[in-house]
Amino acid sequence: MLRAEGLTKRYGEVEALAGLELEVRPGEVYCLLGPNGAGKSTTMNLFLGFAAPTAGRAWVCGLDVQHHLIESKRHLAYIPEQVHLYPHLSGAENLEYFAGLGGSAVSGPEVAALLERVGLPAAAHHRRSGEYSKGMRQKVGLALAVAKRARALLLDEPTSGLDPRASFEFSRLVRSMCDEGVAVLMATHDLFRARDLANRIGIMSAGRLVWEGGSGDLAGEDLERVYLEHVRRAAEEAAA
Amino acid sequence: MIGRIVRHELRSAWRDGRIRNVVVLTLALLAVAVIVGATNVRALQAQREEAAALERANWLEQGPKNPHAAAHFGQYAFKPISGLALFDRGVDRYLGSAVWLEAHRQNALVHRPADDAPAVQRFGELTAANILQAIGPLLALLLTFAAIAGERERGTLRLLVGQGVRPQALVLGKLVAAMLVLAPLLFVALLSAAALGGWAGLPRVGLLALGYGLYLGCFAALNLAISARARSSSAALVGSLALWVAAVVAVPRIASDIAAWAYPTPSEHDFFAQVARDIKQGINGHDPKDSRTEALKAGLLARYGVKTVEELPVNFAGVALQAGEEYGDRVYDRRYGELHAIHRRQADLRLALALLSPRLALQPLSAALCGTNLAAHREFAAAAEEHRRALVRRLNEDVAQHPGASPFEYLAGPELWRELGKLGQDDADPSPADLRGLAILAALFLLATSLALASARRLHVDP
Repeated sequence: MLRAEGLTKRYGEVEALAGLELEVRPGEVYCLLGPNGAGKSTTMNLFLGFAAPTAGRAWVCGLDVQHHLIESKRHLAYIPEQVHLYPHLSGAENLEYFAGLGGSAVSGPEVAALLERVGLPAAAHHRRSGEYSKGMRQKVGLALAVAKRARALLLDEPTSGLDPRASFEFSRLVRSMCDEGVAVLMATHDLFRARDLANRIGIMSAGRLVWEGGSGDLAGEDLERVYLEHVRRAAEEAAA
Repeated sequence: MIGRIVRHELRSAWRDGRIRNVVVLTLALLAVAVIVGATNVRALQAQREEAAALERANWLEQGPKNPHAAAHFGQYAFKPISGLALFDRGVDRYLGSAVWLEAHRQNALVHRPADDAPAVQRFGELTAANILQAIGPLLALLLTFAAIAGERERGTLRLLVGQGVRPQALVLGKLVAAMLVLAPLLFVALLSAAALGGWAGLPRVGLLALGYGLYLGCFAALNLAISARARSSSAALVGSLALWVAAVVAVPRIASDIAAWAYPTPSEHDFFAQVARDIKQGINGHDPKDSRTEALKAGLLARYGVKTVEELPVNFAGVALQAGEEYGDRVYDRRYGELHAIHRRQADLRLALALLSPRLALQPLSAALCGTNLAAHREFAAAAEEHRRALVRRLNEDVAQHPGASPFEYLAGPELWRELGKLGQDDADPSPADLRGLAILAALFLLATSLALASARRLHVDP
């Protein structure tokens, strides 16, 4: 569903991503962990076509992103760290507008049902989104992904700054989408959430995937220890 | 998708109180300009009609007089005012409004409305055309400077492009929406001008709407191109303001100076001094001892086979006066022709510079469609001159048809004065040359839109 083939991105002398090989299958949650500047957001941007790779390819549902910039996005939903909405429009209006642009026109009762499904209180549906908390905006973003019936979902630090309850609700919703066969690639710093949600985890450092394992590989292991050890080792190798 | 973007932009513009207030304020300003323009134009029309009636009465009541003396008695002809002058006064205020028609001289038009205007009007007259030409682009700026840069800063651009929106569709949707917000300004200004200035001008109003629409569209598209490229909305604002200052204020002013420098016109004093020198070379119908008058007399005597002017079947004085008149006409035609050619070259150069400022294409188009450009003025001047020549010719013929011992003893009466009608002049139709501005504006609009679409092709979603 989502596949990176030798995906590389250089900004001048800086190699932000070096030959990433990765695959996310339908119904799977793949969490990318790594310190700031590890290449997680670059990976997201390359899957979204926001930047062109220096080498390699990003595939979405069998479509080479660079050659199908628009078509590939028809199958893709994206929730950034901060879902930015039009503050003068209500959550319902934002959802209606963005979903329509994504090719899944929704209106009235459908909009209400979608917002209810992601747990946005009914009283907030028609309030200006400028008054929303971050968690409420993230929910509208998720409702947008649901409305789009996307086959792949990209989440870039989606729970950062959310309180534990909101974060839990968000994970539950992602899991329910995953159960419907959506492939989810999530970049996060939240090790607890990654362990809870992911089928597979990749640890990135300095633009490289330095460790990859399934939830079974982590049985009895402390994810924090694995993460720190691999990040430290990668930093030492880079320094050497 | 574009329709959805347009609807969203219109809704956002409506909810944005700042835009709503500025549009309403501009609409009010336009309404005031149209009403003030209509009041002024009607007052001027009434004044000129009254003066023309008075002038006609003076002519008819001048009493028995030798026809050539009547030609010197002369009369004023008053330039009519086009109904659409209330929308755009063009160059009308700076050109004369009346011409003195008399024997031997093709006078320039006098009584410029600008001379009677209060000093404050030297800073620019409040006309709907001036408002749309100067404030219209500022409104386009307000609607578009943050259109893309603002989305980028807010973070909504990431979500939009992530939804699969083509950046070109986004730019096109925003351009259409901006033009739809600006459309009521054109609608109100032009329709009220047509209603107050006379519905006969409606086809011209249609062309004006097209011209002004393309003009404002150029600015909206160029601002979108800047917005797509700028890193922040404040940078886009600075860029768009620089564009406004250059295209609306500086370039039109500089273009006029360049045109005047490239093709200088003689001063009024030098022009008429040259005409006077040329006329001195011709026949002086008032001087029987003039050598060229003598030659004309010899030719006429030979033609009729007689020896003295008294034996001629025509009054020689009338023939000599007409010959002098025709020589003067040729001088005026030549010198005015040269002057008009310079004006045409100046106008052509200004139009060529329209690539740097759409206002240089719009100004002459707007004035031409409102009948207030130099061509309309010249058309009146030409009609007045034709009328003057016909009038003087008829008076000289009347002298020639009444031979006698003393050429100026013959007196004509009211019947002849009545026979010589007053000058009738309709609104001048704009020539194809006047409409070149429309083609240039269409080309500039396409160019600006292509630039905006090209800027959107590789859009950075992050600041």
